[in-house]
Amino acid sequence: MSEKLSVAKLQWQVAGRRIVDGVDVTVNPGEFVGVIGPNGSGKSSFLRCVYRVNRPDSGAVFLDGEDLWKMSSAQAARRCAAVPQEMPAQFDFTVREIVAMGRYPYKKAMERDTDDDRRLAAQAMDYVGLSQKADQAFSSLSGGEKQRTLIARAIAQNTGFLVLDEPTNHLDIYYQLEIMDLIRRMGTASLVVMHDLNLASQYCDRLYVLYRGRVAAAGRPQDVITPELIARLYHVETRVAIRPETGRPQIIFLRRLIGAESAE
Amino acid sequence: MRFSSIRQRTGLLALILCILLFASITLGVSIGSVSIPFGRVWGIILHQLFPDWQTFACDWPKNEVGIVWQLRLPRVLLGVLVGAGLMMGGATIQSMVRNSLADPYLLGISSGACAGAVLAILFTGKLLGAALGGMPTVSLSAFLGALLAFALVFLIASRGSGLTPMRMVLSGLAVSYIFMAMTNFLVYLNQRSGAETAVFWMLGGLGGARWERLPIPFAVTSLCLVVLMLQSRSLNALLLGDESAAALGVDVQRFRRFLFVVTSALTGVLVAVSGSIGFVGLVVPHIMRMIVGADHRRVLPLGALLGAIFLIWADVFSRTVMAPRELPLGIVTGFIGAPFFIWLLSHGGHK
Repeated sequence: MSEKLSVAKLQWQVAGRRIVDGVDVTVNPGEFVGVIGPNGSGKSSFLRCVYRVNRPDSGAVFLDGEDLWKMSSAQAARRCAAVPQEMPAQFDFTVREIVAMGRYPYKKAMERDTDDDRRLAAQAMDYVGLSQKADQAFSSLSGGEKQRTLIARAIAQNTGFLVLDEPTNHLDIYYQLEIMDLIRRMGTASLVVMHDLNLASQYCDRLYVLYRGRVAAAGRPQDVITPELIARLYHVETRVAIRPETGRPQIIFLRRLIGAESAE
Repeated sequence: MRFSSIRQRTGLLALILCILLFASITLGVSIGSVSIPFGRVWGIILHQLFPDWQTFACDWPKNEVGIVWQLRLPRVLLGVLVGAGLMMGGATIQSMVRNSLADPYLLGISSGACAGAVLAILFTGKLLGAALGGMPTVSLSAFLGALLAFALVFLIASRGSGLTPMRMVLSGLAVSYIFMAMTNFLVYLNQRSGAETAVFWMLGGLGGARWERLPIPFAVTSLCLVVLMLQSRSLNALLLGDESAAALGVDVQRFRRFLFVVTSALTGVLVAVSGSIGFVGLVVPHIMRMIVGADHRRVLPLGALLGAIFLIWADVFSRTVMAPRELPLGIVTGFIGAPFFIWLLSHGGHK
C-alpha cells in the first residue's frame, strides 16, 4: 500500500442521518488533494472523521496503511496534523506559545520543552514568516497571520500528513494565495476542504467533489470541473475554460439555475 | 534567549510571591483585636511545633498562645487553602468551558452546598449559635448538596451530544436556580434561623477554622494542585478549541469529564468549610494571566500563591474593619475584587 491516506467506505451519522455516506478517498505522498462540494455536502464532517473528532460509524481511515482510529490519540496526532476552522479566542497566548503546542502529542505530563521542541517551533514560525511576531499576542494578529500561526502549529507537530478545513476562509485574495502557496511549498501530503472552486482548481493536484455525503466526482481539476457538474451540484450556470497561464480550468459564474434545486 | 528570560521572570515572580505569602501569613496571625508582634507570632508557632526546643524565653502571655495557635493560625491557613483552591478551580473551569467569565460556582456547586447546609441547620434543629460548634454535620450536608448538584449538572449536560461548554453552562445555571429556589423556600419558611445560615453560606467566611477541620481541605487542595499541574498542557490545548485540542491528541470528552469531577470535588470541599466566597476564582486567574500570559504551567502554581495571599488579606480586612463584628468574606472580596478588576481591565489589560 503506497498511499499516504486511504479512506475506505467511511460512514458517519447523526441521529440516524448519514452525513458521510460511504466515502472513499486516497491521498498519495506529496499530493495536494482538495475536497469541494456545496454547503451541507458533508465536507467538514468527513474531514473531522480524519482528524479524529467524528468517530466513524463504519469504514476506516488508513494512514500509511495503519488504521488511524485504532491508534491512541497521541499516536494519531503524531501522524496527522490538522488546522480546523475554529479560531482560539479570549485567552491571550503568544504566537510562540500556540505554535509550541504543536509539540503536545510528543510530551509527557510534566516534561519541559526541550531544545528540539523550541527549534521545531522556531522553524515552523520561520517557515510561515512569523518569527518577528513570535512574542506578540495571538489576538493582536491579522486574519492571515492568525491562519499562518495555526498552520505553523500543524508544521511543528511534525507529521507526514496535513488536514486543513477551509484555510482561506475570510481572507483577502492576497492572503488566500499566500496560504495556498505556503501549503503547496511544503510538499507534505495534504487534504484540504475548500470553498472557492477557482482556488481549488488552481492549486489542487486532485479534487474530490462531495454531494449529500457521497463522492459525486473525483479526479484532476481539468476532468472534474465542468459546467455540467457545477450545474448539477451547485445549480449555477457557468463557463469553464482552461487558463493558459495556469493550465487549470477557470470558472465564470453566469447565473443561478432557478428551480433546479427543487427538481433534484 | 527569550525563553530563558520568561523562565527567569517566572522564577523571580514565584520567589516574590513566596516571600509575600510568608509575610502575609505572619501579618495575618499578628493583626487582630489583640495585636501580637511578629517575633512573638513565630516564637509561639515554633514553640508549639517543637516544644522541646529551648531557644525561646517563652515570656509571652498564656492567652496569646491561644489566640495565635488556636484561633488565628488555623484561620490563616484555611485562608491559604481556600484562596489557592478557588483560584485553581476558577482557572480550570475557565479553560473547561472556554470562557474567562466562568467561576468555580458556575456549575451549581455552591448553590447545592448552600441548600444542603440550610437544610441541615433547619432539620437537625440547630440554631446558628450551636451551628459553629456543630459545623461538621452542616459541612457534611453542604458537601452532599454540592455533590448532588454536581451529579445533576453532569447528568443533564452529558446527555445527547456530550459535554460541550454551552451545555455545561446552561445545565449549571438551571441546577443553580433549582437549589437557590429551594434555599430561598427554606429560608422563607424559617426566617430567623434560616436566613442567618443562608447568609453565611452564600457569602462565606473563615470563622469556622479549627485545626481538626484542616486536613481534608489540605489533602484535596494539594492533590488537585498536583493533578491539575500535570494536566497543564492539556488545559492549554483545550483553550484552542475542542477540535484543535482533539487534533493535537487530547481526548476532549474524557478530559472534560475528568476536569468536571476534579473541580467539583475541590469546590465542594472548599464550600463546605468556608461557604461560597465569590470573586477569588474569577479575578485571580485573570490577574495571573495578565502578568504571566495564559500558559497554565505558570498560571496555576503562581496563581495558587496569589489566591492564598489575596484571601489572607481579605480575611484580615473582614475581621478588623467592623471589629468586633465580622464582615462576611464574600462582601469583602466583592468590594476589593470588583473595583480592582475594573481598574485592571481599563489599565493593565495589554502587555
